[in-house]
Amino acid sequence: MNAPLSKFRPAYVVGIGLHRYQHISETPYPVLGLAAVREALADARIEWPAVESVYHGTALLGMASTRVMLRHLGGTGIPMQQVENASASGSTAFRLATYEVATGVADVALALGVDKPSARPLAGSQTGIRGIEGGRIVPFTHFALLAQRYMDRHNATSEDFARVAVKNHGNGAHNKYAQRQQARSLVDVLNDPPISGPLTRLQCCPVGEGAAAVIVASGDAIARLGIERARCVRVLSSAQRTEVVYAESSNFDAELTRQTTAQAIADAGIAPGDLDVIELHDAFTVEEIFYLEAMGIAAPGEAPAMLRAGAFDVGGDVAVSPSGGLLAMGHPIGPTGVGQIAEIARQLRGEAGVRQHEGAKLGLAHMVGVGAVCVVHVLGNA
Amino acid sequence: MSAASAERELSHPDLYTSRDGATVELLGMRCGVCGYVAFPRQRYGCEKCGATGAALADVDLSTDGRLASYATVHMHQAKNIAAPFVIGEVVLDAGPTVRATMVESNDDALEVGARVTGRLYPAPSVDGAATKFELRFARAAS
Repeated sequence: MNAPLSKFRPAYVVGIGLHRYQHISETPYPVLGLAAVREALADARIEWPAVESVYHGTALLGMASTRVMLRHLGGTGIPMQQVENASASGSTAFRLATYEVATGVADVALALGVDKPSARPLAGSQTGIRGIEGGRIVPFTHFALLAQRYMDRHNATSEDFARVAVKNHGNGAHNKYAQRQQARSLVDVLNDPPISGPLTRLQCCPVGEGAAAVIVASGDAIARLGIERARCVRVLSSAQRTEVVYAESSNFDAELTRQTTAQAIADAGIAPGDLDVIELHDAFTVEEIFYLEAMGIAAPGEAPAMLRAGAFDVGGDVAVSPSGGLLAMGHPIGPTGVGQIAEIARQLRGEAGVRQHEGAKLGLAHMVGVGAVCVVHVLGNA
Repeated sequence: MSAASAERELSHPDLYTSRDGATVELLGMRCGVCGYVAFPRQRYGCEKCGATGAALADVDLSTDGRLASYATVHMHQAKNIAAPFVIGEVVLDAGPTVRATMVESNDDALEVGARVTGRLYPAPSVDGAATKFELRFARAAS
């Protein structure tokens, strides 16, 4: 069985830190990671020796990346490990850190994500099983095909997808950690260079470098270390699933999202409509539409009209991708899922400044990863 | 194009075959335990039920199907793949959904739901080697 988080003692996000997501540079990765961890420690107002365990989500750095980075905080001998789960690496690192605290293995655990792009091929290309498309279908074309199907089925237009980019770039413009910090108009997005199907460049996420850190702690540790309770955010549920053979095989990301989100929402004891803030895997604009419908936030075919009406804006029914999402904040792979948790925590604390969704009490973080995995967390005010 | 010849060299003879040099069959598999029909052919185990060994049978699948989606791809990072080109998603009458390059170079001629079928199409020549033929899909003659 897969015991829900609610079976164990409460686990809380007590500290968050980030290094800005940015275009690949000569900056060595420890500079990125140490900045995020030090910011998270300062945010929690605790010292490094209080941390008992590290899960580091990273897909592209290569073997044994963690200790050679974190030794510069002063070696304490604690267990550290890399977690690779494609785009969901950071989300999985956070899940493992949370379970370690909830089950009592540790009182304080660090979920970290640090990555820099590399050209290493996916393992899926080395399984000995290949397709007939001869390498011509990369992720943006996978989602372009799904977009065309959606347009045909629901009479949607390319503008419906482009509006996701307008909203998320607008949010990213107010986020100092975002790779893209420029608001874009509908005309900007539609007139941008075409990439595949209805997707233009601004409807595809940038994959750069960066770092994100989240400190998870038990109630005991919060009391012992004197952490400010009002700034702690509780992890209400954690769900992770992998793809199976679905009736409608090509939109497996949406089917997987539907099942995984349903589990996370049920375990948290809430309904989809209760959510105030959502950070989801909007690597391509069309994904936000698919996943909001798969999550039960919008009925099938209804997400574009809700988006147009402002339902998913900061200040709307539910703020979706208030950080800017993968589209604007960026998608450095390992950090992305951890950065989502940082944004949800910031929103639930009421510390998101211009991006603040007023009165946010419940948030959901969602990532899918090629291969294909899905990880969903629900967080609530403690 | 010249008359059909059974002697045409295929780009991926492990994935498809042609008995008459014109129509194309995909080399698929069928699970004898759960009935799942899949492409491409493999012997690692059934993706639906896990059956392996003698339960997995070779079947050749007709390339006749229905266009479920399409996309014109405007750019590609690989230097040996020239854009633009059109990709189609095809639900085969035999069951599996496959994605492949379309013969059509322009998506104006395509619509979701159209009948399509596999064709042998001259693959871009590599270093002046003899032309091989790759599987592409095209609208079926009505």
